[in-house]
Amino acid sequence: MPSRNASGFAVMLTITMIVTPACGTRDKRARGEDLLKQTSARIASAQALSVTTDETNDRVARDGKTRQVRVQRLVTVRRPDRMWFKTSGDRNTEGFYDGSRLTLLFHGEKVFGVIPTPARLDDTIQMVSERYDIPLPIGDLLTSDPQKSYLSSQTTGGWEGEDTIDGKKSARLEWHHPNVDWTIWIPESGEPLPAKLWVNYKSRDRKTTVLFKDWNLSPRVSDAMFQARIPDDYEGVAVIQRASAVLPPDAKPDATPASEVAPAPPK
Amino acid sequence: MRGIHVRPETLSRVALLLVIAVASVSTVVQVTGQTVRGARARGTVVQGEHGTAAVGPRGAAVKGDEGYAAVGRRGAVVHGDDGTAAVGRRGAVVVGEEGHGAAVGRYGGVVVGNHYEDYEGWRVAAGVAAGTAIAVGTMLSRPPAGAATVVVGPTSYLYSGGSYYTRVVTGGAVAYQVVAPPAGAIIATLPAGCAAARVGAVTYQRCGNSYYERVATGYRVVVF
Repeated sequence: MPSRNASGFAVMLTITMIVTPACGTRDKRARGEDLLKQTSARIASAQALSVTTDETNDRVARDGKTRQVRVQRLVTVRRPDRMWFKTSGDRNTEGFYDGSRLTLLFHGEKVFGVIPTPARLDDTIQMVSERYDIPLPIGDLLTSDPQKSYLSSQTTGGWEGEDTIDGKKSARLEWHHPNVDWTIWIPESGEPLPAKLWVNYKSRDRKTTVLFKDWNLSPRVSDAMFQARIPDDYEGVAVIQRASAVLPPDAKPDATPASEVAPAPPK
Repeated sequence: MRGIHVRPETLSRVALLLVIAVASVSTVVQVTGQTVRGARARGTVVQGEHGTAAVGPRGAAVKGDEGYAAVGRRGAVVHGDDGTAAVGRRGAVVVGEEGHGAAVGRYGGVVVGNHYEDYEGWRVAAGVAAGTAIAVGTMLSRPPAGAATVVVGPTSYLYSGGSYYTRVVTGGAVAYQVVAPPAGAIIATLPAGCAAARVGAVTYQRCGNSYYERVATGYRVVVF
């Protein structure tokens, strides 16, 4: 029997050596998903929430140089169809979403733009990003199901370690997608609300780092808070859409030479 | 998408045609940008074959295929991932090429352009000399240094070096987009290279493809 025990041990050892890396990856994935699920559930449970963020955005411009924009943002959400935010720092802006439109105020330039929106915040956040290319890096966290927004069938990754963020030991979850890599830090004690987020938008040459503070899952809000307040001396301007959002699927470029449309001289 | 090269001087001619062509359209199907304060009531808008296009009298407006009328009054365009694109009056699509100015549809479509940090960034990318008029539709993150504010009705423009800029929101920030000279804009002095041009019984100053008439306070843009 000892021989059978020895051979059995050898077989088990071999199997363990073979499957351990895969189990490790699966464990990290499961651990990451579990933490993200807790975070998602906690955020989704709030009828309203507010949070303050410090955001650093690095964008590679047309000339190849990296431009950095830093803003502090205060955002308040009331589900399912209200949002208000205000930024300071490099961008002095304010946004009001009232369930039918998003009004953007640019206080430095004294202009505003209005975007007709879907009736629900989830759809509006997606539309503003995809159609207008307006970055709201924490947008997915504000939806009714953050985990669904963050993880797709193409997403890989999971728990990768621990870091200390703002004095709190936090789990570091790293995720990868063909279009975006992102890492989120979630405190290991207390409320499972994100402490930090890093996003690399690979297809847009843009990276964003967000530090969260002052999460409040029961803020006092009123309807008036989400109604746009436009100063009288502000001028309305156009809001540019992304071409991919408005081109018909079967559209073909009109390559008519400009010479064919030369203006007739006035008579 | 494949782009189209158009020289800046051609663009100005095209812009003039745009105004002429659109001014002749009388059917108002749908007006976009209604929520924009102070929008011109006489904005003529034409819906395209695909339900996606609109063109206004002072530039272009575009309505999305899902009904998101996001682009408002004056010189509006849609900004693409790697350049720009817009939808013309009859559903035609015009696409600007990375690093170059603009294109225009056959039936008086829209003039579009790319986004640069500033005039110098555009000038270097375009490979042109300083002082060259910037292509209509081009967007800059920063306005030209020393630009003067020109007010026409409820709308303010910036004027610099013979070019007019309107403000737009793109990518969550304000940008300065070159537009065709807006009718009624008055500037104190003419840009370089203007010459007298007689139209009917009136003598105007022709600057590139723009026409100005002398008024007490300077020179006023005339759009035929």
